[in-house]
Amino acid sequence: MALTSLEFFAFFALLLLLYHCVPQKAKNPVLIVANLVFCYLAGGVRTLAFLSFTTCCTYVGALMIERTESVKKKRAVLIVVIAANLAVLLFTKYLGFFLHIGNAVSHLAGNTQADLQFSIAAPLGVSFYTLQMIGYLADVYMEKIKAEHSPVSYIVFATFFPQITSGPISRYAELEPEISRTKKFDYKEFTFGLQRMGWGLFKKLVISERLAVLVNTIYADYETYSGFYIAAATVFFAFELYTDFSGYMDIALGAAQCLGIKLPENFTVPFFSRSISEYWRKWHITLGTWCKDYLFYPILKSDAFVKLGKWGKKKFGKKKGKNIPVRLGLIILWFTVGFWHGGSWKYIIGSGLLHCFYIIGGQILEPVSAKIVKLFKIDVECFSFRLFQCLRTFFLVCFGFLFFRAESFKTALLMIPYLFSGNMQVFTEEGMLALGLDLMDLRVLFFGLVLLLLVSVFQTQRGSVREWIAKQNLVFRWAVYLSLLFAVLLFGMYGPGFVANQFIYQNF
Amino acid sequence: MTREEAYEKLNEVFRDVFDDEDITVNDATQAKDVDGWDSLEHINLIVAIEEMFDIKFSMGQTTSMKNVGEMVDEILKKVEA
Repeated sequence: MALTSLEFFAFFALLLLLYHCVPQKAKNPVLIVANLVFCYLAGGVRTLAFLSFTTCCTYVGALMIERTESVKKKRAVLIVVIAANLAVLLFTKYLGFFLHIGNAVSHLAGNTQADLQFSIAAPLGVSFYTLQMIGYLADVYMEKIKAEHSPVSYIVFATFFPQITSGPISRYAELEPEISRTKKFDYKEFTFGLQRMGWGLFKKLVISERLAVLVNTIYADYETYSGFYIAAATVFFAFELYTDFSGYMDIALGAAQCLGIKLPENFTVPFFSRSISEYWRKWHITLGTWCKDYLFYPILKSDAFVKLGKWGKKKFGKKKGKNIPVRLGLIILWFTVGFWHGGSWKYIIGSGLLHCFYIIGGQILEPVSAKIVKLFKIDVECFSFRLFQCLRTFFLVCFGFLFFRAESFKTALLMIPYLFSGNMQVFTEEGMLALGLDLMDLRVLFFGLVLLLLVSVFQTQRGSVREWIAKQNLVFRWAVYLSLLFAVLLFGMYGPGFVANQFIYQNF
Repeated sequence: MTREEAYEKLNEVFRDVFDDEDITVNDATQAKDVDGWDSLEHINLIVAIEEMFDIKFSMGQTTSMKNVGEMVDEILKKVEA
């Protein structure tokens, strides 16, 4: 049951009716039933079983950590429960990758036996809820929060259906007040939630699905569609992924808002970022902050890294020395971020180590760029320079997406020479029409992207579009709402005979 | 240790980490007020403060202190403990 399917909307309408009619005490139990029904319909019994395992062992583990006095025992429980959760993740998602590496090593050692193969479909959302549960347990261990004793509140947090398949990765400290407070029906929140879901559907069904057709055509036959076709397809893919993933977030956060629950934001106009670091503060925000708080900082604060820093300062001086542990930590962090996306080098490089290279490269080149800025007296806050920085960041990110989208790391490497074939057909009408969309679809796509740009600019400069629309007169307001509804109904790619692609991050 | 003494040492750490001799922090100083105080330098700063005062911040404190005032409160608590 995808979030764009009719089944989901029937399920959601029924839930809204029930949820807002039952007394306060029954709201969270209703949510739990809805969460479990959603997990079953979306991912089957397997997803339900794995999610139940992670939920139960983390609940018990957190209570044990809280009740135990001994620091050693607390740590032992933390390690055992994290290991159990990671074991599920690694077994279901990464075993194939480890076997692949094992086979390669075995071949290098001269072994000629047949490769070991293993393939199992990962439970839906396992990468997301595993991180969320580890974060909860770590927060209890670090005494940032108290362990939740009420199984009801805890299960709502652990299984909340809008976020279970693709995040956002929530923190208990933020979500608990939302779950436990008295929820009265709020017309504004309810309608804002529906509007946000509408905008998410527009992004996914009108923009992302059309871009997917163009991208799939070019990436499936990059030898024919060489040159600027590949460059265009990679830029299209950046927008496909953004409208897909942020569209999902709009539907998820909007659905939660209709239920009176505020989830954390995962995107804040990332393609307007002026640096790679800024981009990662605006793209998949909850993954970035999770990795920073539960991986990067603990590594950097560990005794081994503190000692490494001291050694570095002695050996290379204060400035250079302090960078040694930080950069080693960054390499571990970005490897993990890439690996989290999937057990494949295309993710490890495209969404991980390449970005690490950009960030460390940026740090090393910082004095040079500062000198250039000073020498040419560049006003770094003027529009043209900011635009240059945004475009530079965007194209660097797109280069990573080339790996991310390609069939494999090897295919991505093979595609790079084809980028420079000089084929400019993509800039002609015939060239664009050969990619699977007719003229009408291309026009709809163009206007969809222009609307996305306008909304993004408005959000950056003036804030919430929904707040602004809500202040307009009745006729204008409803004209906007109905236009959005009809745009999705008329131009959305869905319905019988068309299967909307899964949300891309649902596979992670 | 008095609050003033803590600030004296803390300013020294800030100047060293951010490589700026003009930095003077106070209770209200936040990351946005100091040039270069991002998530990478934050962890360098925390480690340098731990070293200077011979204390250890918990991971929770590392990520939740909102301003330098809260940082000094924690330092004084730990030094006096």
